[in-house]
Amino acid sequence: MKKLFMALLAVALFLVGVIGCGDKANEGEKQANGVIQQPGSADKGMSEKLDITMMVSTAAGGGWSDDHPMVKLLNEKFNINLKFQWVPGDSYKEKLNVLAASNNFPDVFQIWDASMYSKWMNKGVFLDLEPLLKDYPNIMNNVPNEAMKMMNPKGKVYGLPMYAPAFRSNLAIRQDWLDKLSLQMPTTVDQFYDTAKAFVEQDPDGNGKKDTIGFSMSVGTTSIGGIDYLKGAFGLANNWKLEDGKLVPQQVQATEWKALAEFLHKAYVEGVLDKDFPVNKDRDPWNKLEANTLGMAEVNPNEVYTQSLPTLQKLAPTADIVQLDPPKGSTGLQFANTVTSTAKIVLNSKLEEKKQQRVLQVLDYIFSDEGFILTKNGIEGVHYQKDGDKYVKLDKFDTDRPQILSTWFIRRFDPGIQIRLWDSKEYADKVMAWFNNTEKYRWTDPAAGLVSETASKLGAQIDQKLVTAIVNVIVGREPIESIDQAIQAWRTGGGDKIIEETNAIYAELN
Amino acid sequence: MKTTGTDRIFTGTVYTILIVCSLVVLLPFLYVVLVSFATKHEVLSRGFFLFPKEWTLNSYQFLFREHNFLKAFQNSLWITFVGTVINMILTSLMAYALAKRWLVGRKTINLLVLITMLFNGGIISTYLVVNGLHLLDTYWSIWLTGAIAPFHLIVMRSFFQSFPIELEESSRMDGCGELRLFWNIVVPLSMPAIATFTLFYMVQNWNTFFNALIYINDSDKWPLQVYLRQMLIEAADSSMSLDIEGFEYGPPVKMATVIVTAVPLLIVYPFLQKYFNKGMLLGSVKG
Amino acid sequence: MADTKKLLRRGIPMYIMILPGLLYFLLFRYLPMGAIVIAFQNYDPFNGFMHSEWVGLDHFARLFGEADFWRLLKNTLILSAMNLFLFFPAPIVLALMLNEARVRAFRKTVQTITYMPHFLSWVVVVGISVLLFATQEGAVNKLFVSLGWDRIELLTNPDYFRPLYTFMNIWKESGWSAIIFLATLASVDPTLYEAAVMDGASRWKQMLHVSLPALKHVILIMFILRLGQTMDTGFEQVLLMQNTLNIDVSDVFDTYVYRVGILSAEYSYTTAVGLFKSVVGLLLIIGANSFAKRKGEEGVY
Repeated sequence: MKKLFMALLAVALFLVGVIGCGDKANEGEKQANGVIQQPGSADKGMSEKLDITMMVSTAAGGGWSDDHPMVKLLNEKFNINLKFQWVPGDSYKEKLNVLAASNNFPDVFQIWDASMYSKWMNKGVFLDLEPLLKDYPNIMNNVPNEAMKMMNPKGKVYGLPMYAPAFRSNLAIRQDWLDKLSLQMPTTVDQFYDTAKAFVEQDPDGNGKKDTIGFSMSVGTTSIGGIDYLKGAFGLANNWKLEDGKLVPQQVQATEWKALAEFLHKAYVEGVLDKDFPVNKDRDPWNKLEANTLGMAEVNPNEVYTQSLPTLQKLAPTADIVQLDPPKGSTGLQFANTVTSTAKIVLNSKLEEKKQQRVLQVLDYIFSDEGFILTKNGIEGVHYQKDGDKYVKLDKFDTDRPQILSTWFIRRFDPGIQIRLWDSKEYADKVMAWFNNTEKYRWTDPAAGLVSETASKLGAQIDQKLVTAIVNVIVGREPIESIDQAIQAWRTGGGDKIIEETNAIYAELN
Repeated sequence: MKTTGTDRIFTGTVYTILIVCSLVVLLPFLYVVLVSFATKHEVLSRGFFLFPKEWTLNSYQFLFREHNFLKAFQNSLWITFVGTVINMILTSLMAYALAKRWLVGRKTINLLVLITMLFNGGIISTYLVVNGLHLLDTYWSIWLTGAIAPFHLIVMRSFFQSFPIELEESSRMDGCGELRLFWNIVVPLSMPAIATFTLFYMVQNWNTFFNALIYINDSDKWPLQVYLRQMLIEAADSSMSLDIEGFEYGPPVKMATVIVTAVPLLIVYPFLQKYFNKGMLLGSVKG
Repeated sequence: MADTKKLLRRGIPMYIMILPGLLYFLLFRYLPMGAIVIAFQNYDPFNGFMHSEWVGLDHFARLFGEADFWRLLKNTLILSAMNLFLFFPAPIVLALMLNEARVRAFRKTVQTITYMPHFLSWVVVVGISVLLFATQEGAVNKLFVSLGWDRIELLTNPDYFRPLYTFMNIWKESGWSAIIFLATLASVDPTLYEAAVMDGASRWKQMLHVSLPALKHVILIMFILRLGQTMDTGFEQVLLMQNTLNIDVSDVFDTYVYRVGILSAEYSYTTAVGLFKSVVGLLLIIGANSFAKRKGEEGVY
């Protein structure tokens, strides 16, 4: 008997476990479904307390805990029980796909991937906001119509656009290096090259060693990054360009690619271009600028004065980083890295009407003046305080990070998104000057957010091959002509189909 | 025991190789440890170095700053403790039974186990099962979906197979029941194997990341790995990175998370390590 | 007949011990395995496994028709072979050597040190390798330049990819994988060594004739199981080490799947590739297992 007992015990433990947790799950459900009536704030139709789940993709630092003052404030203000699901950004897409299988989406969530957005909107996953939005003036007044319509079929709005500054990456140069070598600010691509070369050969950091780099770039799976200013100057499109009403992708611009590759090849051979570029990650060129080894790189102006300069000045006290206008190409083209955000905030189509309204009330509030200040700076008296006519940041701001809703989730269309109330006007002006200056060199992508079926299926694979071919030319392993063959291979490998399909989508939406 | 010349050369070679290997392993690891105390700008500007010029606890302060850290740490301890107990009970019982060569149906079950090592249904369908059983947002989703690692089961089985049969038979003669036999004779004599797989499962549970991320929505229930991952993930878009005065993310934080994760496992190791030492088995039987 | 009945009755306690585990396998392994059907469908998460469109063998046709198929297969097999013949023996050798180090404190220290790198993620390990080996800024190349030597393109020259890959594997995992062999060696009957000493066997001979044979069984099991993973080459490591200049040798099925599948959420195609990999693994295991059995060894099933 005894022998059986132990085994049975093990099985029983196992089963009790299964059943036990079943109960727990039910409890959870009961709580979730429990409707707690709460009077007050009935004026806005908020008499009923509602549970609202929001799924947010996070970056360094992570999300808030459930008893965060911001959560409490929103809960009270809207008589809701806000439950955030913070998902680390690099796993966000996978989580979404799993949720899709069980059709178990949260009430509000983000879609970062343009092709996912266009696929899923036809599946009825997202609530069409078009008929509802007219009641929410703050959203309507603060989201540009163009952005609202982008990627949506005519007459529908399946998601609110998530704003990203168009010019978050601006070309920058070491002014002190220019001064030291008595050089002028370069304005053309040729001068850019000469300056970069001087940075390598004339020891701008004055340590007697030839250990500096002129310029750098990075190579991702499907693209070469960090040199948009050069791509533009050489006549390449920002992904797509319109030619006689037809969309033409950057990938097929053989002449332009060959000219650029030749330029980069020369730079590579002469040591002007960072030899590590094939293993660089996105931020590496910028890191190298901060590490006092690189003369020119794309930077985010918001971080220049708070991060890059202080870091750099620890190594070189006289260092100075200033904006460099994109160099002019041989035909006079001059473009800056320009980003169009294709991320959307969507509502679950299964939401009942009262919940739809409540969620939109919350979002509308975030777009209001008051909500905008709140999500950007936190709660007055907790995260900052007014001191005469000045604002002062409190320590709580750094520990609570009340601004993450605005940085990671939803915000107004405002390039100064990282500028806070307590930042001095002088600082704010300095940062904004970068953006305003770059506005002249806007490089639009007419097909931003349009992802054709073939592009999502084969795009990464064929782009990757093309990039490989170009990089091989840059380092001199392949002759320049191989780019022609690679472009041909791109076209036949699915590129022609992508062009055709994307043009069709474009025609349909415009 | 007399030592001959060849033995001395042999031993000398063994020690030399082991010392060299240890150094090769140690140096990069040391880098990780020391960099976790360095400043970001030094790491970015100095390349490879061992001793920081400027020491700081910034990285650890950054990680421990939030009260969520402690919560996540506790969660991980709990997940690891219960998970490993479940793993070991299920795996060792099954491995022991399957080690019996006379067992009818043994081959079929072995094959069933082997196949799961190669084929799996993927995360989506497993998620649907977990969802169907109402295990979402409970730790059972982690404990049960990873209850047995087929690889460990198979290797453990082979350990039990080499168990001296005479010993078993003699205990059976004494009228020892199967489970008593397992618990009183087999387990104590298989401590090297038990310790090994306890360690393997412990590490597996401690490192639980993906399952927790998918099955657990409530961030208060997250284990350390998910917490740490979200602390150091770099924003794909620099406009989304936060600058927090007094704290820097950078590589030192990344290294600090490695240390924070590894230290508990390094502490546990010596306790299990003693069972890998030789002479355990028959010595204890004879005694 | 009577015999089987008797054995069945005798096996009752055993079946009870197996039952919880078996339940686990059926519920959490076999039930989800049904999802493999999506390899023959155009799976759409919103239609589910039952209602997605059936496409037969289309995905397999796409895989075998892929221009890169042979390159992927070749690269995968070469990396696997290096793992099998260079990485696989490393922990065995390490365990044997540790077993010979009789100074307890020394052995424990070395064991702990070699065990540590297992806890570094590949991101960190590959990150360190970039710091050391990058062409422009790497510590090794900086040293070379200061000595007046030429730079070596360790990370981007395709010739170095495979050796570096294998070395990093050995570096990171040997100590960890040695544990299982050490545990086996710990169970060796000490009288066997005593007998060998009586026969005048040197330490080297003892290792060869006592320790190694004691490991034979577990080595064989591990080897067969490893064969089953032939098509897996450590996705994370390869992806992190991959760059446009070494992709000709570093592109394997896993990285290909990542590019075409995960990035664009093509679950059906990914599953089909996975199924192909699993079938290859299964065939190799079956082959190796029956070979082992013919040689009179206990296999994995």
